[in-house]
Amino acid sequence: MKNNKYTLITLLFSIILLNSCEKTILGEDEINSPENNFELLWNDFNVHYALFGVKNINWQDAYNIYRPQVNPNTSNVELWDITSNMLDLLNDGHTTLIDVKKNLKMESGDSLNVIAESEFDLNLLKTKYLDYLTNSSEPDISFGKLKNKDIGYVHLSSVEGDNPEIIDDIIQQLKQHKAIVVDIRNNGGGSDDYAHRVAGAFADGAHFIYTVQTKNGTGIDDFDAKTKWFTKPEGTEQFLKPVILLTDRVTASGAEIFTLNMKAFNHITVIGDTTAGDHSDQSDLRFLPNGWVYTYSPQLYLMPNGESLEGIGISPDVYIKNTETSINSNIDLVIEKAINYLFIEYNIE
Amino acid sequence: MKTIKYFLLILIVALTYSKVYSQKDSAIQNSITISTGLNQGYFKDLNFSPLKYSISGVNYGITYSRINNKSIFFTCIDFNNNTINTIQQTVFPKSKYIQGKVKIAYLRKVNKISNKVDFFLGGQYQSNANYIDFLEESTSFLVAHSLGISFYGEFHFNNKHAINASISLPLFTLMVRPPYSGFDEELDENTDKPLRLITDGYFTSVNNYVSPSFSIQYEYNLTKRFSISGEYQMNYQNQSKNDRFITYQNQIRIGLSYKF
Repeated sequence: MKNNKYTLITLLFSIILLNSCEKTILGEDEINSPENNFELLWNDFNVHYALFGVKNINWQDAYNIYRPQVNPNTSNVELWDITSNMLDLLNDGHTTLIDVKKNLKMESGDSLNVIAESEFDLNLLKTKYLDYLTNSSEPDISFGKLKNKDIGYVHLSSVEGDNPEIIDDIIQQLKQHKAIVVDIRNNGGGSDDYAHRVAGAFADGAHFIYTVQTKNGTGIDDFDAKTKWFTKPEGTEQFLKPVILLTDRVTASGAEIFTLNMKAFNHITVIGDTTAGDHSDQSDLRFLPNGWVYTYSPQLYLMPNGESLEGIGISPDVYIKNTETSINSNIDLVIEKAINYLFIEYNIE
Repeated sequence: MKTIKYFLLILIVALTYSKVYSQKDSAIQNSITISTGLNQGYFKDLNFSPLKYSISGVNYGITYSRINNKSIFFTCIDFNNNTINTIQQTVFPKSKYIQGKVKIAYLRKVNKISNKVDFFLGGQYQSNANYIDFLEESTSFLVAHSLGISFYGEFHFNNKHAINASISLPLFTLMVRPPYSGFDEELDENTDKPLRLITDGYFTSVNNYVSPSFSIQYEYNLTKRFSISGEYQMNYQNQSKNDRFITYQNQIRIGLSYKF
């Protein structure tokens, strides 16, 4: 019995000892210093970021420029500016840095987007150009009809939701019109699958539109095998009459995947501004010891000709963009161009 | 290859000894135990975050065992609902850390020191599933389906009191981890096919994945049919290749058993 007591005491002691040696088991935690936060961020991008090659960016050069600016006395505010400037070199909307505590967010290459956001006004469309605009059961899809025209209108403010099949019902309601304008200006994206499904309602067949590869190693060219993506007709009936797709500089990510689908169809014309050029999906949030989180692009999308449009964007068939002045003057140059184009090319009004 | 040899050797020894020491009396006792308790520990997954986290949560388990004088068949399902929090930093909201464990073991009696002490040794199948989720914005997981060895010993003080202990060690594992970048098209497209996701891995062994677990349990027989128990369990998982995953956890739990 005495032996049993000693065994139990030894066991309890061992448990308490093991519990208290978390450092031995897990190792030291990352130090929350400006230098270590910078190093962790730079290194993570160095081994995981997918677009250094196609964007022709030498990340080591970035380190050589920005690392010397960080020292033990660098404040969090200064570090924010230094790292933001470094990440801005990537010109990539999927590269973000967030200070959770201060609710601050920077998005790489965001300056053009900010301008474009002010060049679209849905209220102006509702009041001047549309007979009606009805919300669908999907919060980011609405539809209507252009004022005094036999032209339907679909607005997608994102490509995210639970039921992309709603587009089939919308097509049923708009199919009597001679044409449809699909507006994805100021659409920041969402899910590629959602984008494919909605575009499928306009598909005239299967077209090879792009390939995707995901980073799978530390080297700049370490990617998995290419996955080919094709357009695919979806739903019971597709809308194959003339369609105008409206884009702008804020048309990004999943909305660009939607654009790539639509651009492949013969009856669709893209009018507006070049899109953002943010094709890769976005990584999960990554963590830094100082409480910041960040994201990056882990994938490489290539067009059928092998070209990457990351940071370049998809060019419209007809280029036109609003200005802040035109919007303030209650004129949407882009939708007016679309109406004019449908009349000139198809005699639709 | 060496590991396979050792594994087979241990199994052969266990089965041989079990025949030598088995008794003619093969009275079978089935037992179902439900248990609950607290889970506490530490965690680090470089696929998820470079930071260390503390773990706290609640454990639920159900166990079925079938024991006779020659062998034990044992199966259990464990579920841990944890929250994790960074150890040094406090600015991040807490993350969820869900764990599940399924274990099926068959052990043969290998020794008989006295009427009060029995030792069993055998093989086991074990699946450990770990899923970490930060506000649905960052996730990571480790699913390990393993074959390994298991040891079980019990000491009966008298008809009322008993202590048992077990040690298990997975040896060969089908390891499922997130892809290198943490992101994968296939993963993204198959979220509605969990079976496919939790088996899409690679085979590995103790050079990459070490996951010993140890438990000690005190059991008190209330009646012939019912007993209550208090248990301490230690679980350790260390997956070292690529993005390292390491967790060390302690559980203290109580259980109620029905024997038939």
